[in-house]
Amino acid sequence: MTFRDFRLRLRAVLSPRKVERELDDELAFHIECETRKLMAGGLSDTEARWRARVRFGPVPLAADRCRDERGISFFETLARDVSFALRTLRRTPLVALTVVATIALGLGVVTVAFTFFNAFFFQVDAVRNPDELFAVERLERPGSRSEVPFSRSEYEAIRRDTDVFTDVAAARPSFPTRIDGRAAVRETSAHRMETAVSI
Amino acid sequence: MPRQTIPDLLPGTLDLLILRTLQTDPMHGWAISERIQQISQDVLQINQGSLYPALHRLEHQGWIEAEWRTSELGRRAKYYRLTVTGRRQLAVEAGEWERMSAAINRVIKFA
Repeated sequence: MTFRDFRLRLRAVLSPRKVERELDDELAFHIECETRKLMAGGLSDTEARWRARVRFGPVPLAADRCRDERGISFFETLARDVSFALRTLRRTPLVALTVVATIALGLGVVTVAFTFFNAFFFQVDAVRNPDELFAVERLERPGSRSEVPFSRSEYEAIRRDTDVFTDVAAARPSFPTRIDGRAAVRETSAHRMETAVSI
Repeated sequence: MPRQTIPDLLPGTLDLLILRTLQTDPMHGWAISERIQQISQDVLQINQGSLYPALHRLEHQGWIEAEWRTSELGRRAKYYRLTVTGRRQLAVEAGEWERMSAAINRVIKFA
């Protein structure tokens, strides 16, 4: 859609009466010109007007095809469809009520389900400042890649005796855990977070 | 020679004729159809019911633009004018038409 096209459509939507009047004027002007030409050729006013109309063909049809080119008949069709649907619903109130209730119930169930899903699966491990998180790891030997897990009592000891971290949390290895925060989003695997702490 | 109603001739021909007619001066719909009829020596007679939809389509495509002006009859009329993109489109379509008609001519003569 070009900018010009968009502007013309917008105009047709915003001031439909003006656009319609212009369309009528444009087509009427054509018939007027044709009539004058035929009159200049010697026909009477009535005869000329009649012939001009015949030659033009059905004006409403031409107008309709112009409207189709405008491409906003979509909105008009939509408006007609909606009003038809409303009339039909009003005629059968019980059916309408059942439909409305069904949809409302369905939406409600989906909302509740999503709320729970969101709370349990999307909001896990949300922390406020992920950049203040530190992973404490113990390696098998210096330079090694494999880590030795902390035991429960070691974890308790770190938690109890530290004055560096505000708190300590332990995680089991090999569960990828997502950590979300205000400023940064970081993916980390939990075994690097064996003793994750926040200052 | 019998008169031809244009869109039946070949699809797209009407657009080309309209663009070409507007190449020099802005015109309203009736003048465009008269002009085409005159220049073609009455061979091409525009189907009026197709002219205005075509004009509106070309306007939406941005190839022509419209302006309301007082006409020679003293009534306000919608004048169409070729835009810059329209001029480009005219060159493209005229070239296509040349190619097509030359090809058809060759087939008629030599096939």
